[in-house]
Amino acid sequence: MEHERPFTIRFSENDQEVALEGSLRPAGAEDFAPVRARLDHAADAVRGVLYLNFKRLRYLNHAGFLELARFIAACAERHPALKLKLVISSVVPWAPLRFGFLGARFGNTIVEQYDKAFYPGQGVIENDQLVPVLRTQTNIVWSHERELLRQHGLGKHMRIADICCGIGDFAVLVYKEFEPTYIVGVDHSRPFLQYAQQIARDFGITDIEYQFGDATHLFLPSNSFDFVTSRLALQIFNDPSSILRELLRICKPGGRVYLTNEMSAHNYGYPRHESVTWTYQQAVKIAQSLGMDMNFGPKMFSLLTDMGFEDVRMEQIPITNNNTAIDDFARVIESWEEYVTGELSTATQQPPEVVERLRMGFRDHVYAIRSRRGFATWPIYVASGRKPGR
Amino acid sequence: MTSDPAPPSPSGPSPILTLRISVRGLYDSWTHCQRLADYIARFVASDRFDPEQLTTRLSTYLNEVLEYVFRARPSEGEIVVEVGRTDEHVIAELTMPTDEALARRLRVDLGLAEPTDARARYEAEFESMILRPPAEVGLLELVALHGVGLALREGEGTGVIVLTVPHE
Repeated sequence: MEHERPFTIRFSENDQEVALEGSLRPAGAEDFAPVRARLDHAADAVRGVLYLNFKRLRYLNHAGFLELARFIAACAERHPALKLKLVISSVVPWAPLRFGFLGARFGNTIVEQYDKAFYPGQGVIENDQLVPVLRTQTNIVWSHERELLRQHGLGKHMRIADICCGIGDFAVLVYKEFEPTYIVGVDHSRPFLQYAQQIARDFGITDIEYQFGDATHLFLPSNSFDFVTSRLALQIFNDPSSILRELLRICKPGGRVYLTNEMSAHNYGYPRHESVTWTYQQAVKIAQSLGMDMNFGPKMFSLLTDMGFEDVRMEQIPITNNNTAIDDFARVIESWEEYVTGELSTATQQPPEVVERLRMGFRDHVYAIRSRRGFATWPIYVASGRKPGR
Repeated sequence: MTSDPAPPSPSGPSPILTLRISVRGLYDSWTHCQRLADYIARFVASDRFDPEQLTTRLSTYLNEVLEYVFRARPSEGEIVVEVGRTDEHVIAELTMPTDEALARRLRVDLGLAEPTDARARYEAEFESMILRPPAEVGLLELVALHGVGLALREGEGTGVIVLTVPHE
């Protein structure tokens, strides 16, 4: 568990942003005065919009809340043209309630819920209708991944963090196979976490910790995990580097960060390969419009290397209809069909003829999987790197 | 008014912890409020499925109540914090020694925090709070914005603030 962070306030004139972090619990106005001085200085120094970043402010007492409100009120008088943008995260449970209240009261204030703005496809990705897709995917990948995890450094009795843990089934499998001393799963979807908690309860597992959290601002301590995983997740965020930086932060020196991602454009099925290829290329484009990069897999090696990881290892899990249970493989593709032609197409307002063609491509992929003379693939890229310093 | 007594305590919730701190000890430092709140919250939330979320919420609410007690300044003696859990709530009871003046103050301040029209009353208070030093509306804010329950139970020379927090 993380110890409470001390309060810090930083002003970046370049970004016109004041970032407040940690715990702000002043006894009253006098106690708050140094913070107010920094805020006033920032408001004097900028024009247009001043960003007040509260994403990492975990605690704020009512006295502090009130002093912030006073600053906002004073700003409206002193700098009538200045807008204040309060950037918050839903991970801090009181933040939407309090800052929503301020946003509704002050005309100079806009509240931006960072995690909604940062993850454009979030609403689509976190829907509980995805649960069957994720479950089937884990089933199919685990049989290949189980050994690979060892080759990438996962051993018994480690401290493990699974970031973007989704429905938590990977954490359960790792828990059973590797008997970690501690394992925590973090995700930003409440439906997924509820499912994860239910599954753990049903399996009689009480020592997997699940947290609602933001992968770019984790409430987990630095340098504290032997093995940090994030599977099929970076590809759905429009700024994977910011997540990787957090994974690096929480990983112990000498520990490893382990990632898996896809290259969807390389999903293949023969015969009817033209239809299959068109569908995946189109699906990649649609996902791209929601900020996802479904071709992210091969880019991991560069990203890990650029970020200073050592001993970077990378390979591919070559899932095909020759090495995987056909029914499971087909079920994965069918669940993609449902997801892409349903929710994803609706969210991006795809015309009916495009939806129909997408559907046909997925069905042709399934045909290739099931056909006696067909060949179908779903490549998944696996990469890991060691955090320097030991 | 909260002169309606809160339901008598421990028969319902299963107890989790009891902490005793001397009034003088609490007053040594303002930061004792948050240290105590953080400690209790972490302890209570540690075996929950999402301990970080529950810790953040519980610590936020407990700290507000402890800061109130700090400002109210009970006379010499002990402050006792008892925390228990039901299926749906975490219930924290803060018992403090009271004289007549403090008992009166508790009735007024906890009376302000009763749930009926809490949001509207908080909004009404908010405007004037911007202009003058705050009244004791931190407790009202807990009820109005955060949906927690607050009640007062009075005993012989003691006041008990009962904080009821939904698990989610």
